[in-house]
Amino acid sequence: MVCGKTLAFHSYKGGTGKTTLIANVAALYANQGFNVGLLDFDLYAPSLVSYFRKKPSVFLNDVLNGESQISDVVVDISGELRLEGKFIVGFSSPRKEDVYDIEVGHNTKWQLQAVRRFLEAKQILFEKYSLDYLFLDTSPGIRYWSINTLAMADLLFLLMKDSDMDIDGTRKMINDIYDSLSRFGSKYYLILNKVPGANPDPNLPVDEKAWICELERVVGAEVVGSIPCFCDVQFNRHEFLFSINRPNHPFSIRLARLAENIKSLG
Amino acid sequence: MFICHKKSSGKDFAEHLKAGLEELGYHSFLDSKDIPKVTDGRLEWIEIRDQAIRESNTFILIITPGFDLSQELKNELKQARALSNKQFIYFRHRDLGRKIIVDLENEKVDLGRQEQVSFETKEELLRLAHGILLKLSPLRDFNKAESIKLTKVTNEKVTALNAKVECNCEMCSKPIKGQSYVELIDEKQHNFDCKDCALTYRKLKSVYGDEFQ
Repeated sequence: MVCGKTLAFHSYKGGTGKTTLIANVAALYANQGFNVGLLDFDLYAPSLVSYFRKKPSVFLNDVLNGESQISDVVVDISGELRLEGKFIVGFSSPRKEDVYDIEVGHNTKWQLQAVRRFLEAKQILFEKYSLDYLFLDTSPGIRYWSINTLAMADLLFLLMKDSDMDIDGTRKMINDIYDSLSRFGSKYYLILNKVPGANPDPNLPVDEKAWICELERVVGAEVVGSIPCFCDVQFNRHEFLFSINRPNHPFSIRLARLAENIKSLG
Repeated sequence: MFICHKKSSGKDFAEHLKAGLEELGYHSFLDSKDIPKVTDGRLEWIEIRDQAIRESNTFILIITPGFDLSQELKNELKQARALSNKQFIYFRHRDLGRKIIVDLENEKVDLGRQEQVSFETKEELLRLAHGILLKLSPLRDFNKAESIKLTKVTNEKVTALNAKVECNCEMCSKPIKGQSYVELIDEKQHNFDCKDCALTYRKLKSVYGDEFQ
């Protein structure tokens, strides 16, 4: 029985900051005492292994292959991060053979079976770890596994930067994919990231609000948060959970605001 | 259900709503889509429209700018209100204020006193309508599937099956224990372990189409 919420972070293009934002928001929830899961379903370009500096021996790929149980794959890192709630993370394999295998190594029958295993794994996670939230990091664009991941989620968050390519692509994905999914209960929202010249103050100035309203109109979805571009975050060699480690940084303050907005979506 | 709208400002909303509801298995009537282009003049057009109003059990009014200036729309609303077999759903575009009085000649209807649902985009309108319709026609017993089919109101309806079914979930493949979810898709029965599986199946099928089988 799935009682908690499943949230997927997605984008049309890569480099929008999905992994940074999803890891930080998930950690913020865990720090507030919620039981949180985070799975790396960016199977074509895994990054959580590097982000959390882990060297697991089993991966989500093994679950999809039917060779491992999800409970053997996820790692509880709440202890080392000293978080209030559980924070379990499932990594996907960065080995080129495994990425290639996901991309072209299987027939349709396997793909469907893998989707089933994914769904079963999700249900096991909610039951076994009493999860309040399960976060799914996805591959950018319209790809087989990004669509499958989106279909597993209740709340979909489309990250985008303020560029014509992002705006056009995001609008297209809303028409092609998100509207279909929303007919069956999914809700989708926009998150603006790396916004140049935005005010780091968590209370949006009037001109930024007007800009967001216009963007909502053009893209056709509600903006649930906007995160300014911070050079010290952007060019940090290894940004690691700013929201937990540097809670007073303006980036963390905006992230906390975003996390609260997401929580209020129900 | 009958969808009432003003052509100049509500056509896009109405057509998107009808297409979406039909895809979800709800039969709806929209004059621009359901009255054949070749009708025997205006009288026949009115006859078909009026029959649809009489036979519908739900009257959806899409309130968009200038809707109260349309005489046809007022005729439809007037006729529907005179019948006692309808539930009314008022969707109001957010550009408009809540207080709207419509002069139907024999009565002035204060829509501000009616329960209204506000919307902005056509996607939002469809989402809201679907949510309301699910509440108005809750999950049905599978034993009544035949009658559901006959009414052609729904052929894609999630139904709760209380009887034990000995089969595997068509989404996650787990054996179904106890209550299962039965979904009729294209008039074919599909069994699911839980609501989550049924919804995931529907989502994937909506994206992949028939390839997802």
